[in-house]
Amino acid sequence: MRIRMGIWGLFATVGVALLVATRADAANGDPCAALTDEDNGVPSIYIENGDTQEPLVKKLGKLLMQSSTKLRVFYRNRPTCNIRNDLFSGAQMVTVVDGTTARPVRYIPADPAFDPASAAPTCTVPDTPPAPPIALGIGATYLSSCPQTPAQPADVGVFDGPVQAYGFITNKNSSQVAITAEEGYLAYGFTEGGGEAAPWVVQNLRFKRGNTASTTLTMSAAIRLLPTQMKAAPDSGTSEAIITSVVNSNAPEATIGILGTELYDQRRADIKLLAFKSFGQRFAYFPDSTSTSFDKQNVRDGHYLPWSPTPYIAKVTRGATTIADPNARRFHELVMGTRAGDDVDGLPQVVGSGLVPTCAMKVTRAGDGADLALYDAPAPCGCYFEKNVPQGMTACTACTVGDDAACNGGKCRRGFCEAR
Amino acid sequence: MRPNIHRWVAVWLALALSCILHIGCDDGSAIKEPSPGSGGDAGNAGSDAGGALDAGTLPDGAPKDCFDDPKTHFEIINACTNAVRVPKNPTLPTLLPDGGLPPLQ
Repeated sequence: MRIRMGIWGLFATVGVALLVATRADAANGDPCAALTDEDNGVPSIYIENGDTQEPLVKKLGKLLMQSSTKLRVFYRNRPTCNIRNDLFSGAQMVTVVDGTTARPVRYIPADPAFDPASAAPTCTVPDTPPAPPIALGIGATYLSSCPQTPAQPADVGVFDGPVQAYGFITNKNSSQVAITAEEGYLAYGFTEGGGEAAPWVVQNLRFKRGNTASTTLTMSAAIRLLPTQMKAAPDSGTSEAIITSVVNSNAPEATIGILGTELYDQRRADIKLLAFKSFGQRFAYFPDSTSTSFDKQNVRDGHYLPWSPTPYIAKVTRGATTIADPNARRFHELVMGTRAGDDVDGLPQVVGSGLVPTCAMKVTRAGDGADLALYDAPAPCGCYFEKNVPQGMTACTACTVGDDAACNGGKCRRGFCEAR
Repeated sequence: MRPNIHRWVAVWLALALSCILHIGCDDGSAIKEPSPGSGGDAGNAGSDAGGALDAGTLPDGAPKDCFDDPKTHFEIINACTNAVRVPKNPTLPTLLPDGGLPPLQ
């Protein structure tokens, strides 16, 4: 009897598992406008973002879906210049394939157990208009690095977002620790036998993204090349494809690739990021103060140069300087930490995604590869940033008097005394 | 005889003070992560191929290799820091004689 019950129990368990699997399969690939097992009445926003920004979109998207004012995020990873093109031309969210790389649309499910570190489910959009408008574009480098057509329409604005750093990566078994800008130029600028920047002399072991991807735009500028001048293996369609190529290389020493540091931060066990020495610099530096920390100290103070802001692109109210779409405006204000009266706090998601809020930066620049200048954030958040990164710590004085209250000659901001 | 002893003591004290000041001002983070077996770095870790860097001098007169109060781009990227500094000065045979980048082919 006990055995029979055990067998029936097993059947029941398998049956439930199959049912759950079937429901999951049904949800993955539904039309975005008619999701199985989801409340399709929840307000939504369609976003195109660089794949380096996907971790932030998923983290913030989950909180928005759990918010008392729910907002469902549909998003698609795309190269920055393609995003610029779509937002400047009023494109709709239709099916897209860039070359041979499909660009699936994904969504944040209502399930509170959804793990932003896992893949978000996909849904389908029409092949041709009419389709939902793309309300927000999130690039990952200066739009001035993209082809300037089409021109920016008067009713579309470009707003600052957090700072994104990039770097050269190599196989975990490589003995290399650092690379100079000159080495990068000689390695990526020449075919085999030309540049002689040992050990990166095998073209098919030098990996890059496509020429419109922010990773390629910012990294090529850091070594004074144009994306089209980089001699590498055939373009990798995604950052994940670069990681796979670098990890699987059977010649670790000659292997090199380019990657956003927030993706590197998630894959430190698998790959190695090289310290970078820019033109005119005396030493090479990691993005962080050490190879094992996460403080982005060298990005923030100007010792590590391959970085750029993430531009937020959206329609603006005519004659105004604010984003017109309320959901896009909410998303941007949360990311910038400037939104009041919301039950979602965006800044921790920015920090937790490996990005640097503008308020934590001490330097700025006008474009990819441009010189740095000192920057004083009007409402700095460097102390908060330092404290809240993984392994975070800060020498700043903690305060509990509330934001904007006087504190040690400066102001209390997010729990710490800042200079102003 | 006594004045001579005083002079020697003064010289040794000055030397000791100079050493202490040098250690105190030197950025101890430098060369914390040597590049083991890195191609171009071997045997060349201490040299400065980054060009002239006039950041003043240490109290003992030795040249300083970073800027305390950076203002310009060059000073910002070479500012003094407690971050790890990785020496990297490879010999690159295809650079131009003046260290410039060769034109692309």
